[in-house]
Amino acid sequence: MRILVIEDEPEMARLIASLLAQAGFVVDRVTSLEDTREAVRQSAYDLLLLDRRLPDGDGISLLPSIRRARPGIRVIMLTALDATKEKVSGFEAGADDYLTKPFEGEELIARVRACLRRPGFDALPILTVGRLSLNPSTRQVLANGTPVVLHRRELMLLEALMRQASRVTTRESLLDEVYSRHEDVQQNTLDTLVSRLRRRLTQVDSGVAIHTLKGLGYMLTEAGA
Amino acid sequence: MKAKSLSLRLVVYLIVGQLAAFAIGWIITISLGLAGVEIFKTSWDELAVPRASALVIESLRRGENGQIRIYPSSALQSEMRRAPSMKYAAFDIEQKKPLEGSSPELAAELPGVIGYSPSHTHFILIGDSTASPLGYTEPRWTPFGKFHIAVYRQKFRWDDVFHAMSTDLKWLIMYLFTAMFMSGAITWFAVRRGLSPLRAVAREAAGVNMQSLNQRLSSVGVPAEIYPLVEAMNDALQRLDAGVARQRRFTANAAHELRTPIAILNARLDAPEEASFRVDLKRDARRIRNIVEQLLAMARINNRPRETNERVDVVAAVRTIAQDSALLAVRSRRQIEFDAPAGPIHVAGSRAALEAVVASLIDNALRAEPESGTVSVRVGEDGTISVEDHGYGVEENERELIFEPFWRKNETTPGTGLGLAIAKELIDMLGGRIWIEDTPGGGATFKIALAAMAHTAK
Repeated sequence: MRILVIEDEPEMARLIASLLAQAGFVVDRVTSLEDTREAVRQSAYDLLLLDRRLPDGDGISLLPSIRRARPGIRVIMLTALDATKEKVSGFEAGADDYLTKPFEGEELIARVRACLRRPGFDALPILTVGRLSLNPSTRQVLANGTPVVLHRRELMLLEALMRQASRVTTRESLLDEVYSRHEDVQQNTLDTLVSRLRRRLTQVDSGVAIHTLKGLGYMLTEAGA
Repeated sequence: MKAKSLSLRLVVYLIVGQLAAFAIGWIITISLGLAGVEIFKTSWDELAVPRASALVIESLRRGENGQIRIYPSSALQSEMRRAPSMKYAAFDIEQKKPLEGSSPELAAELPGVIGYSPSHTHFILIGDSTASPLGYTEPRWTPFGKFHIAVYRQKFRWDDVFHAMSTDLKWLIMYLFTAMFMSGAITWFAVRRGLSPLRAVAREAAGVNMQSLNQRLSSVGVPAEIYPLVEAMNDALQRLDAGVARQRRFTANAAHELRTPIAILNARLDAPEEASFRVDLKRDARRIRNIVEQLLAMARINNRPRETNERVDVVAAVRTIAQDSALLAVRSRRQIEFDAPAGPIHVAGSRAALEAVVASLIDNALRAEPESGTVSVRVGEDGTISVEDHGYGVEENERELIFEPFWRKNETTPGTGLGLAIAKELIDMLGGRIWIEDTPGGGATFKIALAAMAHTAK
């Protein structure tokens, strides 16, 4: 998965790039509209992280031509302009998501993953938290390099939680991911499933923890960090 | 727009007013005279004297023999047709002899009177028995020198009112002119003098700037009419002064609040690295971010006051912030729980501002919460937000003070810069309330209540 970061502030660009690289993405960086056009012409990017305030104009102006050139490309706007009006104009211009600076690293990664998970993408990078890794394409889970056998639902739950690592996932969205709409789900079914997965992850010394946050949902983080 | 000078306007009004007063006074006098009041006594026909005399004067010509005589002008002739019984005469002022062309009756009877060189005379010819005089004679200037001009049984016409008035005006012009001049001059002087304190006020006002907003304009000697203006300006100054003081306090406060977490961050970077280094840095950054977000929210509200009246779903807003704080809570070995009614609750406010304040409160609570404790974030059925910790709590007598700018729990420790002063300022701007209660069993509960929005939630 190849991401182009368009950001003119060098330190910010470097940090975003390293954050994304750590999450398993291939990252390129450019600093102007001009360079962006050139980069998009030369390589097939899956996603653009587009800053709005660039030295040679508003990042938004790029969207129509890029969309024409690469119809499937995802675009997340990244900006310090946080007024609702700006957000609306960003979406109207065709952005898939909009993130306001300053943002948390975990949120950026989660948004990028969410954006790329939409239809048309399947080769998502391997998810890694602590000593645990999950390959979304093969559904293979490794703890300390050793394969871990999980039930289908445990695996679905783990994937959902790992995609949102270090961020709260609500009960509702987990239920949506793990159970089909027609299943009659008991109130505590999800809790039971989470408990089972938690036990399993502890057994294999995965180095991750699943936190229950009453009223909010669940959150998977690196244990003891 | 600047209007014309007040003194000038008053003088113009006075002149017009006095002319009108003269006309009205004259009409009243004539009316009283016509009504028979003795000292004003006159008759309609007497009003025709000035016009009739003028007709006679314009009929004076120098005859072939070099003598001045009366050749009735066409106007006089037509007047004679209108008033057949009218008589007229002119007399040489030196020789007291009638000029040729004078009516024989007047020429015969008047020389006796003219002989006394009267200033003017009302007369009745012998045989005409009537109470009021029918004739009038008076020396008048003509193109040929001064002559006694006499008219008798002249007849009133409506325009005689104006002729009579203008004749009287010539008489009285000096009284009128003097009165107008004097009153104009006095008005000019009085206005200038009466308004002179305003010049002092203007000088004072010109000296008011950002540094001297505490000054007030002096109202000494300011006329009662202008006094409310000066008072209103002083009130406006007072409000500006308070507003600017507030802004300054705010800027200082904001800087102070930011300085504290930055100082801590700095110290952390210099001190030997602790196990929790990364989390601590993250927490410091979050604290700075919270303060900056609150400042930005405030700046936005100041620029666009209408933003304080957005429809905000408190449940969604507070849940978002609680979720955002979860990672920090977990990493700091604290728990966070959220409790709210199922549906949305709408209040009037600004979502950005509300989120900034709640984020700040949750961070404060996480810091106050003992390790492995749980911070409870709740939204009540009425939309009241509460953030509950189980730390040391806030003493009763400090509960108001903690929201005051610059207040620190202990002057000897470096500031706690909790952002509460800014939080209060923001909540005040939203028309809401922020306060502290005890957490049952120990600790502080911060509460925020905003005005509910009409229940149209669908």
